[in-house]
Formats: sequence, C-alpha cells, structure tokens
Amino acid sequence: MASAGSGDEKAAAAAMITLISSDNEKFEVTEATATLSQTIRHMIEDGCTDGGVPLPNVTSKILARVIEYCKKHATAAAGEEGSSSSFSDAAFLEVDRAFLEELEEFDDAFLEVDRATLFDLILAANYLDIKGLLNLTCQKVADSVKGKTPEQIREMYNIVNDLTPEEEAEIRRETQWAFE
Amino acid sequence: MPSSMISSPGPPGSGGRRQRRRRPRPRRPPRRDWSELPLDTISYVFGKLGVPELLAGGAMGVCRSWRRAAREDPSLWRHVDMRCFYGPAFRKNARPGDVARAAVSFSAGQCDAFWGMYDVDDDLLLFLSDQAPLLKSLRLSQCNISWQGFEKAVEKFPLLEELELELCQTVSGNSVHELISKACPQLKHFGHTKGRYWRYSRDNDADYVEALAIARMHELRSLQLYRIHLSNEGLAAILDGCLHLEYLDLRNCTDDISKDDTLRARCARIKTKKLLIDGSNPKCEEFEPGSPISSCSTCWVKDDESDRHSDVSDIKDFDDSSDSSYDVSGVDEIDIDEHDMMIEKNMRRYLLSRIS
Repeated sequence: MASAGSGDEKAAAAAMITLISSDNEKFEVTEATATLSQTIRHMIEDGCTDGGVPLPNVTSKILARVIEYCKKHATAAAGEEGSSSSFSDAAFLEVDRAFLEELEEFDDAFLEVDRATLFDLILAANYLDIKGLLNLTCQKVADSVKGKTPEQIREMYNIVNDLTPEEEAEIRRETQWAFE
Repeated sequence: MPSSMISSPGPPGSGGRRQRRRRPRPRRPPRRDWSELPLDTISYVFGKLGVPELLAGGAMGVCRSWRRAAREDPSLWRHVDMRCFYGPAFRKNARPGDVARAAVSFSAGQCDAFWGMYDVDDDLLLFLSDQAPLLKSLRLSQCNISWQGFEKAVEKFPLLEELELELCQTVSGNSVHELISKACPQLKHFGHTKGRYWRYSRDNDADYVEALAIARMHELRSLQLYRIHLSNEGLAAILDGCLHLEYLDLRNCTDDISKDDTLRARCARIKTKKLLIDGSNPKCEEFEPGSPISSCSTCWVKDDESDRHSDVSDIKDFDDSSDSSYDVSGVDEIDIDEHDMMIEKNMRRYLLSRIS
C-alpha cells in the first residue's frame, strides 16, 4: 500500500513542469496545464524540460496570469473528457453547459485588465502558442476597434501615425467608396 | 523662507506621510506601442473583424504595420460576404460593387467564397471569375446577371463545391443545371430557388431533362431546390445519380410521392430530408434575404410554435393532418431545427476545412 502511494506520488511528481519567467521566478504546474501551450508541449515531447523551462520573453506577472488561464481551461477540458464517458447524453449536455458558462464567466473576468497587460498577454499567448488565450485576447482587441476611425484607434492603443502622405492618399483611393 | 518651507520635504510625520500615502495607488503601467505587435498577431485580430469592418472601418489606416498586416495576408480576404454591406453600419457609405472588387483584389487570387446579394452584375461576376480561380463557394441572391454572363463566369469556377442561386431570374432556365453539372464537377452542395412568380412548366419532358442534369452532379452531398418541378421519375433519377447525397430539401418541387412506396424506400438512405409540396404556409414564400435557403423550413413551425416546438411527434402529427409535408421514408422523425443546422454545417464544412 505504501509502495503504491509512493508510486502515485512519483507519477504526480513526474507530471509537474517548472516554468521560469524572464525575471527568474519559478512556477510549478502540472503537465496538463503546461501543455495547453503548444510551444511547451513540443519541448516536453523533445525531452527538453529537465531543470525547468526558461521563458525569457514572459515576465512573472504575465506568466502568473497565463498559468491561471491554463489551469482553468485544463481543468475544464479534463472535466469534459471525464463526463462524456460517465453521463447520459442529457446529463452530459447539462454538465457541458455548466462548464461552458463557468468558463465564459472566467474568461470575462480574466479580460478585465489594462491595455498594457492585454498587450503582454497577447505576446505571451503568441509566443507560447496557446490558441484559446490568443483567441480570447485578440477578440477583445477586435471588439474594441470595431466602428472606430484610425485616429480613435491610434489614441486608444498609443500608436503614432507613421504613414506617409502618399500612403494615406493610397488608402483613400482604395477605399474611395467609403468616402462618398 | 516661506518658499524653502514649501519646496523642502517636510519632516517625517507631516508632508512625507502624505506623499507615502499616495504611493499605494496602482502605478500607471508603462504604455505599449501596439504598432509593434507581431504582424501575424495583428492579422489574427483583423481576421476577427471580418471583411466589411476591415474595409469600412479604421483599422487598416492606423499605421504602416497594421496596414501591412491587412494587405499582406490574403487569407483575411478569402471569404467575401457582401450581404454584410447591407447592414445599417455600412449601408450609407458602401458602393457594393467597388467594395467587392477591393476585397477580391486584396485576396490576391485566394478568394474561396463569395456571397453576393442584389448588386452583383455581369461585370462583377466576370471580374470574380478572373480574380478568384480557387473559388469553392458561390452564393448569388437576387442578382441581376444575364444568362451569357453566368455562362461565361461559371466555366471559370471548376473547383466550386458549393453553389446557391436564389431568385436570380435570368439564370433559371432549364439549361442552367446542365451548364452547372458540366462546369463544376466537384459540386457538393447545390441550392436553387426559382423566382417567386415562377410557374411550373408542367412540361414533364423538360422537367425530366432538368432532373437528369442535376443527377449528373455526382458528388452532391446536399441538394436544396425550391419551386423547381420534379416528377417522381426525376427524383428517382437524382437519387440514382447522386449516390453520396446526405441532405435533401425539396420545397414546392415534387408531386405527391407519399403513395409511391418504391420511391419512399429509395429515399430512406438519405440521412436528412424535407419535402414540402404546394399549399404549404404562404409565409414560406418569403426568404429572409441572403439567408441560406434552409432557414425557410422552420417558418411553418414557428407559425404555430406554442406547443409544437416542444415535441417532435407533434410536428409529425401536424405534417400528417395538414398533408403539406412528408417524411418520405416514413421512418425518421425530422427535427427541423436540427435539419437546418446540419445543412448549414454541411455547407460550411468545406469552407472551414480550407480556412483553418
């Protein structure tokens, strides 16, 4: 019994991955959480995770948020897998709906960040190749620029207009129909 | 003396404390320059905006890198759905023909879906046929295209997998099916709605020839016809020719086939089907502009939805008593909403497989 317990512990320990942020902070996460990132998944597959995974492009502040996202979504994914085999169709749909609602609420709350954090999350999601997170964060940006003029978008996102007068004239030509 | 008192830091416990008290307020985070987002990430954001917003909104004119992201990623422009330009946000400014041309040119030959409504004319269709050799999906609704224009254009779409013609009067002649079956050998979904005041020819020979042409669309998975007269022989020919058919939606098309046991049996292999004959709810005559044809099949249920939505068997009873609709196999119970979803899914599957 004792040996079985230690075996479990070993298996659990083996499934933990250490992520190291750019400011050298270490985060222990389960493999299921870490592999939401395709980048880390490939590293695990290549066996390059001993001694931790250095992520020089991600600060500890952002990595903590990213891990928070991955933990939640990894749990939801595991829950869905488990439920599909043990519930009837109707119960499965019910559980499924509850999961989705909970995830949606989590995602909404997760996006309550300032623009600088949103920017860093997008870069991290892109670098770590976490499709769900990239999708979520980019959707927020897309929603915020809808119906806005270039000037309004520049203001919102701290962008300097570096278009030459020639390029601006070209844009006007291309979309002349919109200025009738 | 008074000035030095103001400028000098106060002794601990007076002004200093006030300063320290302020500090816990969250510091304003350093601003990021969003023009420095990686190009593929900007493209990803733009992909969520969709073609109409990209063309009519401000995102493309923000700065050089955002502009590059939009212009240098043809995949953003692959799916041109002109129906959006009739929404309130764009109606005022858009000249649909020019919008469509701009979108198709930005796609740099990669446009694989074009859904047009009202303003597609011969010129635009021929432009599309020159600029979009990879087109897989074409939907034309209430467009004023000449027969010659359609004939010339459709021959340049050999890869077409999905084609819908809705209320395009001039391309409704009998030889249209013949033309399409020859020009588009890979067609998997075909939908055709004839004009509202189209009268059945009741020329059974001509109708049979038309059915035979549809029967030569051998790759069809999904077929939706509205106001196109099919005799039982014609339907049988289609079932024989289109062996992969999974979805069949015929409205105001067929004779009463409920008594033809052989035909009913042959229909049994089709997974999902809906057949309405003449005399159904007149409200079905009106399609929501631009919506897929399948969206109509729910309206006769909605008309009386109070208790019928709750139970599929009720719908079936309704069918039998009104004698307006047949489940031809006599076995399946059709959940109409589900049917619509499946049709829609079927139509999009081919697009999505290309886009993702």
